[in-house]
Amino acid sequence: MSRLEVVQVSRRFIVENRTHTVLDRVDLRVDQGELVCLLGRSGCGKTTLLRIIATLDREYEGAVLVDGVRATRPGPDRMMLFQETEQVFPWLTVLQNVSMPLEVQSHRDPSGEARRFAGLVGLGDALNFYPHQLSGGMRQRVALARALAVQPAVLLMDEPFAGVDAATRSDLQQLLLGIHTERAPTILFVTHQIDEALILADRIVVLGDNGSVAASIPRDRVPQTTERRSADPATVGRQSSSPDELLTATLHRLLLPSGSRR
Amino acid sequence: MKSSPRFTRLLWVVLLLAVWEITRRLSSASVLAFPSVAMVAGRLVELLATGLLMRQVAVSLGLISGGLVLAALPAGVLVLVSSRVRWVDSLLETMVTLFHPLPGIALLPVIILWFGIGVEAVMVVIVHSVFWPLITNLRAGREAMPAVYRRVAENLGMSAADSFCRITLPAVTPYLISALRICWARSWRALISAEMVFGAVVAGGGLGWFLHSRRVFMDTTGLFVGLVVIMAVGVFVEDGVFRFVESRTVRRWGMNP
Repeated sequence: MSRLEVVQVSRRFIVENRTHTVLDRVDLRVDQGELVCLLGRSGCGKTTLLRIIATLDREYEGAVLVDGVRATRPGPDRMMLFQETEQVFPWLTVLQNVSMPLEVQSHRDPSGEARRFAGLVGLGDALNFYPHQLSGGMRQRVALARALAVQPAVLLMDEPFAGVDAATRSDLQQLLLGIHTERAPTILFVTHQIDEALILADRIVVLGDNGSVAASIPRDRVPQTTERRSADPATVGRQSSSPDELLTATLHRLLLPSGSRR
Repeated sequence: MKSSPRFTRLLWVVLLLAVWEITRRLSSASVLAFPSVAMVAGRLVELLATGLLMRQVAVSLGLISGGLVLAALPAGVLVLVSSRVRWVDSLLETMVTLFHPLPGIALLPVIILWFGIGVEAVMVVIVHSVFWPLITNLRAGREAMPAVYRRVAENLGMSAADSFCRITLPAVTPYLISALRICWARSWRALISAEMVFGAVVAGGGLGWFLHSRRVFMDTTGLFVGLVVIMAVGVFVEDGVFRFVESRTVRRWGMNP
């Protein structure tokens, strides 16, 4: 049984009497401890699908199952991480931000648990800082700690690193990979960037422009990312067809607008 | 030269007092109309010693606090309801547009006709002067709240009460403080005017009544004392109350409006 199962989910919007199909019978699984990247162009319905999974959007057909049970209301078992750094509340310190959901859930030791997870994302020394004293990247770390601390069945990440500079994004990706290797949280990660999906994913699910799943590609993540990172400048220009480059090419092709696809 | 803003401000006050005193010495006007700094200061000490002045201040501030609470509760509830019910929102907007520009003092004749000249009338003036700016600012605060706050609350499955206390309330705090600041300024002016017009209707009278009575007794020095106290209370509330609350909340949070 998968941690998260999306079964034949469709979502239609009616605008000026015309029906727009944003999601068309989408099937998706995320297994226990898996990091799945949902890759698609802007506007293809990735965020809509996340909102449906989190039950923030209820106007859909199909079903969302968490541990085999149908999800009917929003809850921290499908904790979301948003793109906006404002998701970290400015009136709470780092520690208070991370412990807040735990307090809401009447956790036994919200403060101790929050301390642990703040440490996990490298904010152990910034517990009493307010968000305005932190950079955008550090605020996303706070959000990540807050999301992990509730120990969701599946963590839903909606382009969480899109709002920060390239170097910080890379740091955050490595942080997420480290945490994933160590603790194996189940994650559905939405992105429109191929390189991000290649770095992070155990499996890449491509959502096409027509709102249906175009491909689901399992990856042997670790060796390939190291290969990418240690690419010798001398060999870069050489024609090579490493599996990674083939995959990149395939993904590029899949992400082309549907009209121009061959 | 570097000096604290407080110190600079004190220097300016001393300078202004000096200008007053010099003008007084050069002027041929009677001290009955234009008392010296020393006379005003002496009278201030006298009046403070009898406790009369502090009682007036207490009465005025008490009336304002009462009016604020009386206005804030329905304003808060209405804004809360209006975020769920669209027609309430549009009604509120229309009413603010209509009534906000009306100075409280302009309403006085009607208020006297309807409520007489008791505490109720003074309260109506205060409530009128704070109710509309409060609604405008709370609505603005609600509009300015980042949408992601609501999504986080919803995602966590927070109860309405939790979401209100833990998210909505702190999120609108900067707007709440600036609303209270405007309310304070408006109600303070309105109250002094109302007290002057109504005379001693409230037990104790209030500062406006004090000013009025000084005029009647031809106590010009006391009149100036009244003006000084009105200014002093204004500065105290601004620096002692609002700045203090801000430094503990929105400034610490980096949410300065």
